[in-house]
Order: sequence, then C-alpha cells, then structure tokens
Amino acid sequence: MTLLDVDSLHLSFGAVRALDGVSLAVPHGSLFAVIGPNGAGKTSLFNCVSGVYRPASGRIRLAGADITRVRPHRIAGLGVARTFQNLALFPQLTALENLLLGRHHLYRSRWWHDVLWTRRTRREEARHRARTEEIIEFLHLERYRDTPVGILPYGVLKRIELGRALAMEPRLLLLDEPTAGLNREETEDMARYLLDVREDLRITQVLIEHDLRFVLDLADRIAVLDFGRKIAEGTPAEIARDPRVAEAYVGAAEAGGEA
Amino acid sequence: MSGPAALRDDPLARTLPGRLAWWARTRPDAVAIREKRLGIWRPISWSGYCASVRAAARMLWEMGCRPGDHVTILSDNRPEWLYVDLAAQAIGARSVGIYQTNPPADVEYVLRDCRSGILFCEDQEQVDKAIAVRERTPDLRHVVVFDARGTRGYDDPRLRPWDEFLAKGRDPDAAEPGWFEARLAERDPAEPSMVVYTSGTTGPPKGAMISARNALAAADVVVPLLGLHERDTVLSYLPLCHVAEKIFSMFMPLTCGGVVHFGEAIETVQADLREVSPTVFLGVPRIWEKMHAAVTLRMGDASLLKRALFRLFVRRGEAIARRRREGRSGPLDRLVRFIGDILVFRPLRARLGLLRCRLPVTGAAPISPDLLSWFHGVGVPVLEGYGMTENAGVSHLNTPDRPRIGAVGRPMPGIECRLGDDGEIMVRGPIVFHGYLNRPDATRETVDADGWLHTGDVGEVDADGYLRITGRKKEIIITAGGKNLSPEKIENALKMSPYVKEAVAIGDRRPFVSALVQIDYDAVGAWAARRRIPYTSYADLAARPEVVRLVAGEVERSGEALAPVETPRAFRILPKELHQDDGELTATQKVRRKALPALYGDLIEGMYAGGRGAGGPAGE
Repeated sequence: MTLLDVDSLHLSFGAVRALDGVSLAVPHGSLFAVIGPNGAGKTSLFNCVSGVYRPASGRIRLAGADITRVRPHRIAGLGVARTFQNLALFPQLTALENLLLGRHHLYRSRWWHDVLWTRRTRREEARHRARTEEIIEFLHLERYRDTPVGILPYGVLKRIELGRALAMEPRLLLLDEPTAGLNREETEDMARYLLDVREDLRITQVLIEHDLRFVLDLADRIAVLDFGRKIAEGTPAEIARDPRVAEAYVGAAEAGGEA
Repeated sequence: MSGPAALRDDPLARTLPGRLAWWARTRPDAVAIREKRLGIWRPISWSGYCASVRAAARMLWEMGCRPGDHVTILSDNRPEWLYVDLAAQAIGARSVGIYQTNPPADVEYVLRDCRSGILFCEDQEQVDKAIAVRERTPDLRHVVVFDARGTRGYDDPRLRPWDEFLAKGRDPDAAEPGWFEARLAERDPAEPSMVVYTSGTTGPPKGAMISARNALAAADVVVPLLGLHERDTVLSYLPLCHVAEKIFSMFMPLTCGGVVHFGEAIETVQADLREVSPTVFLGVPRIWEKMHAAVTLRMGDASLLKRALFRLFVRRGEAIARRRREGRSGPLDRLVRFIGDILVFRPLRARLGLLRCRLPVTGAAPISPDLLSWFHGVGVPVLEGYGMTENAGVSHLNTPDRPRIGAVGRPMPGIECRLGDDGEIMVRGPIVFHGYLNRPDATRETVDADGWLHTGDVGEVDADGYLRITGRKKEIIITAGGKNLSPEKIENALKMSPYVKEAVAIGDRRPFVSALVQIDYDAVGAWAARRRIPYTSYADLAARPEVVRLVAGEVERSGEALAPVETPRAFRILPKELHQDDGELTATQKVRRKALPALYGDLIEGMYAGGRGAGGPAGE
C-alpha cells in the first residue's frame, strides 16, 4: 500500500527546472531514500511535499488524499514531520522543551484552560510529557533532558532534531540529510536509530542523502535524482548496479560534489 | 521484629536468594528497588523483586541450566541484572558478569573460560558481540536480550527477548508453588554461587569463585559495623561485574533491607545521584577525583567573595576534621563548622548529591590522602576500605567513629590479618574465596595450606591495628639509586590536579622518577577555551605548548605531597587517551602499567635521553 504518492511533479525557479516530472510511490512502513548530487532537486521535492513550495503541476497524495495545495501547518497536522539539514531547534530551550514544542499542534486544551491550570490542562501536560519521555528513551537523550540545546555538540543536535520530528507523532517522516556533518560513529548510530524507527515505531520515512554507500545499507528502496529528473529507482542492489547512477555520481565526484 | 537480627536466625539467611525470599515474606510491599524510567523513579517492592527472580529461576531451569553451570550477564546495571544473578544462584548455578565495555575477544574469553550455556545481553550492541564470536563459543545455547530493540530482524535462533523469557517462567512457577523453596533448601552456602573475573593488570583475567558464605560473612559484619538499616539507600552505578558494587547493590541491601536505585544511564550518574541523594555511597578514587575537580573548576569561575569564603572554610574545615578524627575538637570548632556548613558545605554537598550521605566509602584502588582530607573538610567523611575479589571485596574498613586518613582501617571482626616477611598482607577468615575457576595452580599460589590469602599488596600495621597499604608487591619502583617507591602514591599526587585524568609513574631502574600524563580532556578543554587557545582534538590539545606549561605547573605542585625522590623530574603528555580496546586499560579502567612501556617506549626514553630533563612537548 502506498502512503505517499508523488505524480509527475514540476517546479521551476525562472529558467531553472528544479523538478522536472518527478514521480514516486512510497509504500507504508518503508525507508525510502532519495539520493542525488547537490542541486539535483532533493530538497525542492521535500518542500513540495511539506507544502512550502507549490509545484507548477503534478499531484501529491498522502494516503490517497490530495495535499498538493494544502498549507504547511495543515500538512503537519495530517501527520507529515520533517527534519532540517540546518536544524530547527531553539538553542536557549532544553532538549525536553524542544521536544514538547514539537507536539504543539497536538495540544487540545484551550488557552483559558491553560491560564487557569485546570485538571484538563494538567492531564494533557502529563500525557505529552509521558510521550516525550518515551522518545527521550528511544533516542537515548536522558543526559541532555535539562540542558539548553545551544551548548550541545552537533551530533547530539541531529538526534534531538530527529526527536522533535518524532514528537509530532508523524505518519510520514521526511529526513533531510540526517547524517550531514556527522563523524563515522555518529553516522552509524543515526542509521541504527532510523532502522529502529522503521521496526519499532513503524513510521514511514523518506530520506534525502548524497552519500550513496550510506543508503545502500539502509534503505528499502532508492530513487536517484539528477538535474530535477528521476534517473533511476529500485532496490539498493539494483541501484548499485545501475550504470546511470554510477555516471551521475562519478561525474559529481569529479566535479568535487562528494564531500 | 523485622530487621537484620531476625533475618540472621532464619534458615533462609544462608544464601542471597534466600534472603530475598525472607524480605518478600516479611515486608512484601516495602520498596526494594527504584528504577528511573521515562523520567520517573518507579518503585519495585520486595514481593515484585522476588516474583521476577522466581520466574527467571524457573525459566533458567526449563532451559537446561543446572547446578554448577555458569550464567553470564553482559549488561550495565539494571534491575534485571539482579534478577538473573539471584535466579542463577537460587538453582545452584553461578552468575558471571562480563563488562559491557569489553570488546568481542574479551567476551569470548569469559564465555569460553566458564563454558556458559546462557548469556543475558543488555541490547543490540552486546548481542552483536555474542554473534561475532558464535563460531568459537559452541557451548552458548541461549541469548536473552533485556532490550530487544533492533534485534527482531536477527535470524540467530539462540535469541529471545527478556519479556518473553520472564513471562514464560511465571506460569510454571505459579503452577508449582513450592518448587523455588525446594531449590533454595538444596543450596549449600559453601558452594560457589558467583564468579567474578579479576581485572588482570598482569595476565589474562581469572574467574574468582565466591560462595554465598563468603559474601554473607562480609555483609553480616559490615551491616552492624556501619549501622545500616531498612531506610538506607544506595545508587547502583559502578559495574556489577565488580565485587565492590555487588556488596553495595546485593550483599548489603539483602542483609539490611535497604533500597537500591538504578539510574537512567551511565552518563546521567551525576543527575541521578542528586535526585536520589543516597545515604550510603561507594565511590572509586576516580569518582572522588572527578567530584573534586568539578568543584575546583567551578570555584575558579566564581566571584571573588565566593572564592575567598570557599577557600577559608575548606582550610578551616580540613583542620577541624583532623581534630575531630583525633578526638580533640572543641565548641569553637563546632561553631565554625556550623557556619561553614550553612554558607558553603551544605550547598556544595547538595550539588554533589551527597547531602544525605551518612556513609561515603571509597575502595577498589588506592586514593590520595590529600583528596580524602579535602572531603572530610567539606563534611563528606569518606571512609577508606580495603579488599579484593578474592576475599569477597572487603577485609578492612574504617568505621565512622574513628576514621583515619592514609590507612584502610582495621580488619573486620572475624577476619585475621598478618604481614609476611616481605611485608605482604595476608588475610584469613570466612571471606576467603573458593578458588579460581579452572586454575588450581593459581589458587594454590594465592591461598596457602593454612588458609591465608596472599593479597600481593605490601603494607604496614600501626600500634592500633590500622593497616596502611604501601603498594603492589609486583609493582614497586626501585630507582637506580636503590630507593623503593610506590607508583600509586606518585600517581595519586598527580591526579589531585583537576587537569590530570591519568598518570603513570616510571622510574624502575632509572636515575629519577618521571611520569606519563593523560590530561582531562573536558577540564583542559574548558581551560583552553577560556584562554581562546584553539584546538581540534585531544591529540591537538595535548601538544599545545600552553597545555604543556599548564601540566608542568601541576607536576611541580604534586611535589608538595611527595618526597624529593618521588617527585617526577620529567613528564610527557600522552598523545591519545588510554583505552580498553587498545589494551591500555583493564575493564575496570585501571591502567595496565606493564603494557605502557612497550606502547610508549619512545616517549619514555625521550625523558631519560638528555639526562635530567624538564617536561617537554608530547609526541614528536
């Protein structure tokens, strides 16, 4: 069954064709990777799915419902969460507060309840805190619970960023380069967390990466973008064999695209 | 009356799981364990504790575990550790802890040495080790995983999750109510019930077999000696593979009925400690050094007034504590102490998580007397004890009424101690262990025909019977000038500095003493950041000339606590942090002193090459 269905998406910035007829079908519960060199259109694709950009043409469906022109906060409400390459955390807030903030759209009590600190508000606070604690345990963030995230190392911030997205209780998780800037050990840890998200939380994930080797070990299915076009899609084994992928990558590597 | 006195008269009191059953019967609803999960301390009652042990015991039996078998545990501290340990003992098997920091090869060594049939792993990381050594551990038939996350996709048929294991054991236990009691009644308290692998600073680790009698002989003496009772609390955080933590998390609480706390993770110890504020706390020297360093560094950033107050009261406090130990403190001392307590010491102890701590204890390695004096001064009268795996962890202990600094106390009641001709400390009594697993030769070398345990430590006994340890028999430094020196004393003086994490004294058959120093990356990193000295890594930081100058000052300062011949005349900063995986540290994070000369020969020779040198930069 398909959770996210993207159908011939077009997006242009002036003369630049950021997305040129891209189609994807992401099955429920899968870990789907979108790879490609810098400028291939990966982040543009995410921006369309999460409602930040409006595509010139094409359709995006989430579990059958058309979300092509729905506003970003509504899409978040429909269960699409996203992590950002350059992090979306509040540095002066603690890790716990950042995670709780991720649940903002799930709060049901009204502001006058909150002001009066009614039983309903207290119960709701406790429920959100309990869910947040489960995520803290899941990502082993206990030691950072009460630390302002601004002073934490980058590798930990990436994990908290993932936690913030998970706190939204998404059906679909969009991960924009979750391992960019991490060292080898941190990368392996992150890979393990993503597998755990799939196996234990059963959340569908779409992952943007430019490191081909990383996704070959991790993803169920891989789509390759190059200059706004999908040049290949398949299982990791198929992608590894595909000559077009090698060409796009080798070309990019020679141009200094691979860090 | 409930309590230790009634317990000791009960037939159940002969084994550790028997004592658990006694508490479950006597105080079923009282809290035995608290575990912090999902941000909340969750209580586990004595009856709940016992029910888990019963189910685990039954399931071990169903899986083919029999008396004399070895049940291995590869995990951090958590309640399940205690359940498995006591369950194994209840059916006559032996629990064996494996350090979860061990690389696969060391895990394999233990699994093969004790031919373990059942292994309990903490999580995926540990399971991966068991799978990596699968070919070479044919005896291992079952692997139970406490936290099965990430292992569900594994196709190793030996794996099963802990929840399923425990749930399966509950039914037969409920169906046959007297079964567990019958197993307990079969137990011989003199049979080995635990195997504790020694850290092996010299050779490969040896499995010391400890019986219930050994463990409980120690506990039955320590509990009244320290006045422990049901309201006492401990935090279980040092590795349970080590006998010292077993005393504090198992032997003592099962004897006095106190509450054991399990924090969230190793990294959260400081926060957990502050929340629990235990009444009894065991620290190893490294923990005390870290606390002292944290306070020293923090005070460096404090305002002038605070700093002056702190310095004044610590100095006063140390002097008063000394007079108190000597039994000659007056009313003025009490007044000054009271003021110091309000202004400085109480907030300090609250920060450290030692506010309610009645019995702070140190052991497992020698500690610097200056460090102890400092803690006594701030109102944490740390008691030094002495023992080893081979005597169930403790033979000597300072008591709260008359503690001494620099001595490890008197032998506990019922334990004999004497010194050999070469000053070697020998101990005899019911605490002396059963022998090394598969190593009768090593057992004979350690325990002689008259039952004396040869500790390998050298010491002196003063007129009041207090024992003072002077060093390891095999590790004494004899300088080219013929002086006998203890490397530990020199290293501890160096480690008093908050910037020094590890130090290794060198000088055997050398013209003077020198030292290899590992800087404390966090402390020196903060120091460098404050001075805007850029660095990228430990190696980079260690090589900075400013850091070398900083350490030179600290080494020079260490001389205040040392005799001139003991003071290092040269040093080098190690270019990397010592690590267990590189064979430089044991699993208990003790330096393998013998391994370092081969690894850092160039650094060492460099110090002696130019005659008597001052400290130079690390590496090239």
